[in-house]
Amino acid sequence: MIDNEDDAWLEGLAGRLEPAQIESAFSRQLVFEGAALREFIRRQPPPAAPEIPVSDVARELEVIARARREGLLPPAADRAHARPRLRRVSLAAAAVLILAVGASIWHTSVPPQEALRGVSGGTVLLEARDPAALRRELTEELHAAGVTVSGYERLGRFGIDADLPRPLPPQIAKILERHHIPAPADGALEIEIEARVPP
Amino acid sequence: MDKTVFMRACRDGGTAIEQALRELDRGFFAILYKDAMRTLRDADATRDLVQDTFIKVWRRCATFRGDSDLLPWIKVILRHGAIERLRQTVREVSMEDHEGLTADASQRIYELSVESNPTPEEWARRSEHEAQFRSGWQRFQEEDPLHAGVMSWIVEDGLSNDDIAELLNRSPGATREFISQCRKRARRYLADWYALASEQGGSA
Repeated sequence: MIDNEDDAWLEGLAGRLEPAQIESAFSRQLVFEGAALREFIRRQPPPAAPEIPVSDVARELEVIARARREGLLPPAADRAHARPRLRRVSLAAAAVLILAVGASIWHTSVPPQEALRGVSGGTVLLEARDPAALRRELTEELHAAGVTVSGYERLGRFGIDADLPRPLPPQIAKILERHHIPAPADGALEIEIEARVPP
Repeated sequence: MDKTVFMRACRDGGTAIEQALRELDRGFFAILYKDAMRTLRDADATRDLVQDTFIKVWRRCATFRGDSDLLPWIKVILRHGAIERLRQTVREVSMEDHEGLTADASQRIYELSVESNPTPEEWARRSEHEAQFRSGWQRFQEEDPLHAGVMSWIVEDGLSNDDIAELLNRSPGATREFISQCRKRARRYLADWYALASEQGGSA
């Protein structure tokens, strides 16, 4: 039931009514008008805009900084102030860490440690002490989760490509999270790992 | 981003929000940017609006009940923000109606817009219509982005009277007036397109 001419026009514009469904000639005309506008609006190209990457670490940091400024997250300064109160605990933790690092150097079967360096053009860039070992570990874990992975080595960089199922199963999400790898929005996972230069 | 993850992060707060903000950015920034860019038509303002939307999303996260998907809920917040910004720069002026399409012309232009196998003559007409529409619509978007933007959203998401009232935060009566103004402004900005349709509709 169309109450007035604007309603008829709106129904046509929204694509909810076909003109043939309307009995009144006047209302039908307005539905036609709305539907014609709809078809032409849909065909208009979007305004020119810079290419927007799906994932952009700098952009993420920008929004997090904004959340801190607006009080949504605790300011970084507050966390710094909290440190003196925890100094003794921190010193103890540091001592444990030093021991752990020493032990890990001594031990040969230690798992590779990696750090996320960023995302460039959809490729996740990781840095690891032993890139080959990290690639092997990632490949094995993803394989075990049912993902087909292809690996490569190019100019000293180790890489893997994989198509992840969508929505992302929790098991795979956990693997990515554990290795600090952002989940690709389109399911196409591309990772490059380079050797960490010792300090 | 999955809505259950979002709701859990909202409940947990703290560092969960930081991680969720990253996921929101990865999952939705590009989509929201495209949507807002059509209305604001300015890259910096659009980037700022999308980031502002993410902050608002977290301020209001407790109001998300999970009845719908996350993206449509976020889009409403984005569009509220776009409307606020447009209202700061656009003064609404009531517009008198003037003639639209005749019955024949409106049917003809509708057929031209949806036919799949046009004759060469129809191709030529269609190109002419496209060019007229594009220049008028571009001017409409530049000079009156609020009404043109709402029309785009109606086309994109099939908004009803109630949806538009909620978006504009207006009463049903004021919303009807707004829609009426959309129709009148479309007729003004697209007058050449309407005239071409009337001319060809009359001779068809």
